[in-house]
Amino acid sequence: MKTILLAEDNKNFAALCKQELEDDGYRVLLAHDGEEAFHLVRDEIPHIVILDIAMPGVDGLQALRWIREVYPDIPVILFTSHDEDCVKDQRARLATACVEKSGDLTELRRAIVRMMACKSAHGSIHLGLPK
Amino acid sequence: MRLTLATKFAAIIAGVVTLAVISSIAALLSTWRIGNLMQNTINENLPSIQVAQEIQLTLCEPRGLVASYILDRGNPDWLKELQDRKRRFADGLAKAQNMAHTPEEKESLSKLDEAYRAYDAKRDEVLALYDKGETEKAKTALLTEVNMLYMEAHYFCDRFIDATNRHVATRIIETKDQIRQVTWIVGICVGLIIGLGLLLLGLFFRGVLLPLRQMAADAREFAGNDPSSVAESAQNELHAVGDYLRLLMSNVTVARSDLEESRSQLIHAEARLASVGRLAASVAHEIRNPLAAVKLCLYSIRKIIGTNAEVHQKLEMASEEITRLDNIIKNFLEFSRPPKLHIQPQHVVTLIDKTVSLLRLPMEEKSIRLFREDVENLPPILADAEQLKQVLINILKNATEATPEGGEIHVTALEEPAPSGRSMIVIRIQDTGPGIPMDVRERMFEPFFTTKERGTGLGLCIAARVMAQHEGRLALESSSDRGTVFAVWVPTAQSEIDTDNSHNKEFDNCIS
Repeated sequence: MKTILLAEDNKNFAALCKQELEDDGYRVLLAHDGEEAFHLVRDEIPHIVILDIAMPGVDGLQALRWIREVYPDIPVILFTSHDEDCVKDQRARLATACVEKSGDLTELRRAIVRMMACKSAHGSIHLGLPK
Repeated sequence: MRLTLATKFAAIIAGVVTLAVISSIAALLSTWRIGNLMQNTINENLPSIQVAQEIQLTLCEPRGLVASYILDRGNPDWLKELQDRKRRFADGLAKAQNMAHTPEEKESLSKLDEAYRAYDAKRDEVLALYDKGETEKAKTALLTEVNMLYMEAHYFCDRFIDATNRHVATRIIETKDQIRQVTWIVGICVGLIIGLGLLLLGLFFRGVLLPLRQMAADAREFAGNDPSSVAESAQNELHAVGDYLRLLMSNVTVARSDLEESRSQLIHAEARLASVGRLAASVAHEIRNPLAAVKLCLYSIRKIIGTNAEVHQKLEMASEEITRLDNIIKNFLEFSRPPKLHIQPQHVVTLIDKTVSLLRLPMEEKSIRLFREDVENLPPILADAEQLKQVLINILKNATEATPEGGEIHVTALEEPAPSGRSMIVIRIQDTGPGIPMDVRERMFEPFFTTKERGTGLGLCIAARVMAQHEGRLALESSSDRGTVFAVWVPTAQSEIDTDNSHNKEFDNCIS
């Protein structure tokens, strides 16, 4: 079973996402801030990491940098309420993809499926940022 | 070279003084000249008249002396007297010959001399005859020949006097002419001086007094708006101007301090507005997170309850409202953090064509006919294609909504210079809708002002700001019951050289 790490400070949103992704057949780990996310990545080595940008303490962009330094091959999706956040900050370039939060997670699902497919085919992937 | 008031004054005063000096000198010179002329005429002509009279007198006087000698039976006293007179005549004649000016005078003098010699010789003959004792013969000769010769001499003497008189008369006429000439010259001088004086006076009026008076009038008019205007009792223009100037200076001081105050207020307000804007943006950002959670929640619920139509419909409504809320916030975020433009030369007609094709469907639904009228060979424009498209879509959407079934929309593009002289392309979008009411026109570019049930009130405001960032302009050109015209001004690529920093500040109130 593939493991996905989701870092999201809004507990309700995190729980709903976890539910949806588990319905899709993934194992979902939850983190509530960047620091927790980094520790979980180190401990569990998930297949995909999903990071919210705005989080208390260590935010998603800082966590992304830490993860990239140690695990450059794990795909990281920035999951944000306003996709412009990904353009504003140079650190966001390190992410594999950037997805805007929506009501039905369609975009997120599509990104996950794509990355899983690439990962199994080539071992490592790097997708550009969406325009 | 510009003349200062002081220079003008100095020049005019110097001019007037010079003229006065010149006219005095001219008057003095003319007096002196006329006096000289008179003196010369008198000095030259009076002696010659005197001499002429003297020789006539000395010719006449000795006439009876020979007869007296004969009658007095050879009294030698008469002869002595005769010799004396003869000498005086010779003296007079010599003097006259010296003084004679004209050939006529000289000729009559030489004739007189000749005639006198003959007369004198004949007289001496008579005396000789008498001395020889031929008294009768002498008497006869005296009465006939001597008398004849005397008459002749007298005749020439008269001629000399006439000639002298004529010469004097000519001289007097000449002098008169000269005096007249001098008078003319002086007259012309005086005329010139008067003319120059008037000219200088005119210059003084035009260069100094009239501007001063105009200034006073302007100042009075300007101060007229002020209840504390200067009293009308100012003695002359200069004082009046001074009074108005002082009034204006005090007004300027007040205005400057007012300006200073409002500027600092504005700076504070701007800072406050900016911080409020930042706060609002971060609030909006925060709101989107729970909204996404709510939406996801609704999605899950819908999946769980399955096919219950009534609940499904209610959930759909809630979901729709959340989408709307989300759109509002998204717009607001875009508005508070405007994207950076990627300005590049663009082909304006292609860009319009692409934009228009996006709106073909809603137009066709209302049977709206679209007319494109572009000027040929338009220069490329400098624009961010996506942003400009959004602006045009915004206006075209409004136009489509405003135009009734079967109406028309005209889109035209042409080159026009902006008031600043910069070359611009103007895209005009004209609909046949009912027009925009006056109260809406005043507020339509304000943020969050909308007349639509589902509008965010940011569309036109963002569009106007995007155009301002392009150093162009979005304007409502006209609106009546026959339709509305919006104009989008975009700078052309050719005008890049003279870009200054005079951005259109008109829509800066949109920016938080």
